[in-house]
Amino acid sequence: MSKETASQAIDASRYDAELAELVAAWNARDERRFVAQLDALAATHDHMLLKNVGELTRGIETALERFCVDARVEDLSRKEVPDARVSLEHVLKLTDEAAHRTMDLVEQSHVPAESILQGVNHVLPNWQQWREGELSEEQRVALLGEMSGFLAAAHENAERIRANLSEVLLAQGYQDLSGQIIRSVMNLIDEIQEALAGMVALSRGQEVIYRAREPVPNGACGPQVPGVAKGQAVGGQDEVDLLLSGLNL
Amino acid sequence: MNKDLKFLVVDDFSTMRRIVKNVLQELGYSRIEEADDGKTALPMLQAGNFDFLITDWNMPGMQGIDLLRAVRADGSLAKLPVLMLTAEAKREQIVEAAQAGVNGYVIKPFTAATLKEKLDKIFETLGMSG
Repeated sequence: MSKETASQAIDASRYDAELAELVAAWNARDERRFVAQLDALAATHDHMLLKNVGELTRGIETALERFCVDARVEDLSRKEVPDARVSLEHVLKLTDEAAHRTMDLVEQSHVPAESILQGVNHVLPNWQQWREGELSEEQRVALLGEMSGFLAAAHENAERIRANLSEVLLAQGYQDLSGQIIRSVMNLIDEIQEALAGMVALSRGQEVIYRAREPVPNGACGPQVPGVAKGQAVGGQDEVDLLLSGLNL
Repeated sequence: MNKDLKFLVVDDFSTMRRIVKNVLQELGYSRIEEADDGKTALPMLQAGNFDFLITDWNMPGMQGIDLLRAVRADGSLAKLPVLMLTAEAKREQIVEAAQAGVNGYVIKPFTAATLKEKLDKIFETLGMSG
């Protein structure tokens, strides 16, 4: 403010000097000097006017920048930060569920794996004896029966283990889903950082470098998060199929 | 069943590419290549005699929907079967993909059974032997 007052004072003294010169020319009836002084006075006036317009423009620009930053900061603080928190809670839930699902499947696989091992341990001594020709005919028939039972059980147990391993694999899909959510929160943090830097710059009367983010092209918005509105979404594969069958796909 | 079909799996998350690749292998397919976004995938498709494209939607670089449009606009690829495998679940997106010519749409998280069912359905519709 003190700078503005000083510049006004300087301009007032310029008017004083030029008016005094104009009056002196008028009193001396010096027409040439009077007209020249009149032009000089008009030029000073134009200069002052431009300067005021310049100051006004700068004021509007600052107000607009402040408005942009303020509006964005408000949007960030009222909606996007709370949404990000809900999204991160959802990531916690996804990772928790995936870890438990994986461990459940591993634990469930111990049973058939143990059963195969026990079966092997059970038939192995007799199998060894048979190879060494130490089994009677009666024992040999019993071994064949045991072997049939063992092979059938081993087949079933191996199928169970294989199915569990496939499920373990699919359970790792959480990394993609939670990764997409975390990435969007990271983008939000970048934007908050820029908005905060913009506010600090404004408060110091510096130029603002904050720019509003471009929306993501083609509307990709990542996984649906319960409690965070992201447009009208389907509830699962059945709804996708229903929607597509309506479109003849 | 034609287990010689050549697949391209496009997803920016390597974990998801691995999952899809493993499911395809369990189904008996062994010719599977990977790309991490549409920009990498398109030249591979143009050069590689692929029989099937499985793509994510949300990827940096070129998104899945743009890859789908590029495939449909390319004379030599226009008829390539495309399955979208994505977490994008907005109704308007599914309609958009259908209008762009997608052959199937599977929502993440998915099961191996769902992926198999959708592949079989596409093979059946297109008269391919999967």
